[in-house]
Amino acid sequence: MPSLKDIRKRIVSVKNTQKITKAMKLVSAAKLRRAQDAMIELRPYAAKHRELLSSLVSQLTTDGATAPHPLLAQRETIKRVAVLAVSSDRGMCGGFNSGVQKLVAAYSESRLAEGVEEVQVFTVGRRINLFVQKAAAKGLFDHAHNFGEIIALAKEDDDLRAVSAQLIDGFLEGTFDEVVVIFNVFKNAIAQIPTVRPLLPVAADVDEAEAGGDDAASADLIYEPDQQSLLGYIVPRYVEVQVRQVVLESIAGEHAARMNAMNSATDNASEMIRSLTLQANRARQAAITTELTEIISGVEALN
Amino acid sequence: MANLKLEVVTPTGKVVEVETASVTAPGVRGELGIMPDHRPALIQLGGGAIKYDGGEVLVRGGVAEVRPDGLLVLADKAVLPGQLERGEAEALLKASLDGLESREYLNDVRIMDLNNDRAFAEAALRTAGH
Repeated sequence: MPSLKDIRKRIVSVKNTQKITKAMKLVSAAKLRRAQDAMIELRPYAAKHRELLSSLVSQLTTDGATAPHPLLAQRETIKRVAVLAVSSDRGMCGGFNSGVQKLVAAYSESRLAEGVEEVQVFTVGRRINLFVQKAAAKGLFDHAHNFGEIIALAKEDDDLRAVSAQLIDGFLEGTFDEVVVIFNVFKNAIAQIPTVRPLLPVAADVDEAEAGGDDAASADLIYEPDQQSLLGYIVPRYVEVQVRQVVLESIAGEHAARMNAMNSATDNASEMIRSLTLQANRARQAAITTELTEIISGVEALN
Repeated sequence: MANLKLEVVTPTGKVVEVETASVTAPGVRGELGIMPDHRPALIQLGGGAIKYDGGEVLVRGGVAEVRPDGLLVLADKAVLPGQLERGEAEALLKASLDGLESREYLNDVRIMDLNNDRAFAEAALRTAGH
């Protein structure tokens, strides 16, 4: 049985931990709000790009013809696959990173089983980078490139652009035939779901109804210089927007996950303090009882 | 005469929203002047300055959606004059020129981006303070 002094010491230390987890929770809540704002800022730009892309593609695609842009072309045989894996830089966010790690491993395994020759993994975020380095050493897949820390990346516009540029280059040069992103989808503040999302070739989901209804309006549009060049500008931008969206979503998810983890850590600390206090009181009572017994038996002996 | 509404939107938010009598935009095949009641158009922009009454904004490339009552510019990067430091602009210009001159094989997307970078850096240098 630990002594009263030991128990009191533990109570103090748990209280200190609780202060830290509480503060981290508040910090994450503030950061989450900022990350969500950034996601909202991107929305009008992203939505407009999607609209322009599907309208241009529907106009340029004639039945049976090849894709109007090389980045849209589906390759017949997929030999090499690139994976962009996105995680956070720091831990203390529950299962946020391990979810992505497991999915990266499971995904590459299933692709290799399907007959894909090679899986190359690009990483964003320190956690996934460490994991992929280790896994690559075991020969599970190739660690192609690490883009560095996610927070630093999100701050620098041009760094983010470099990520999509490198993936586009690799795809156009045939270094890989398909690119997917594995990251945590920010569903809401409570749920972040590790997900595989195709990035290249670009899937221009042409909404038939929408495209058809727009025909009269788009026929009237002047295209400068022409539809083909406009598509040539829009497609890579669209890839960039998607990468940006993934990074922002992952950051928001990270803060949300950390907020939840810290919330339950604070709750657990409260529970622990409660049970330790109970123990301390019991120990104190026991000590008093022993002392009393000693005094009484001492008096008794004198008589 | 009715005014045009100019909006410049980037991935990080709206940069400019003004009412103006006319707009000059850096189209990929030269400058374009846009007046009110323009026919609806979709214009690819290169790097350079979008000029409007009382100001200008530098873009690295983008698409302008023109309607009779205004235009919406989707720029992948846009800054106000003087926002980009001279040194930064010089570095960007050098990097884009080096990239274009390198003997490395460049795909179309890279060439387009580098050209936009170059024009953007030049416009930034022109407007940057000393």
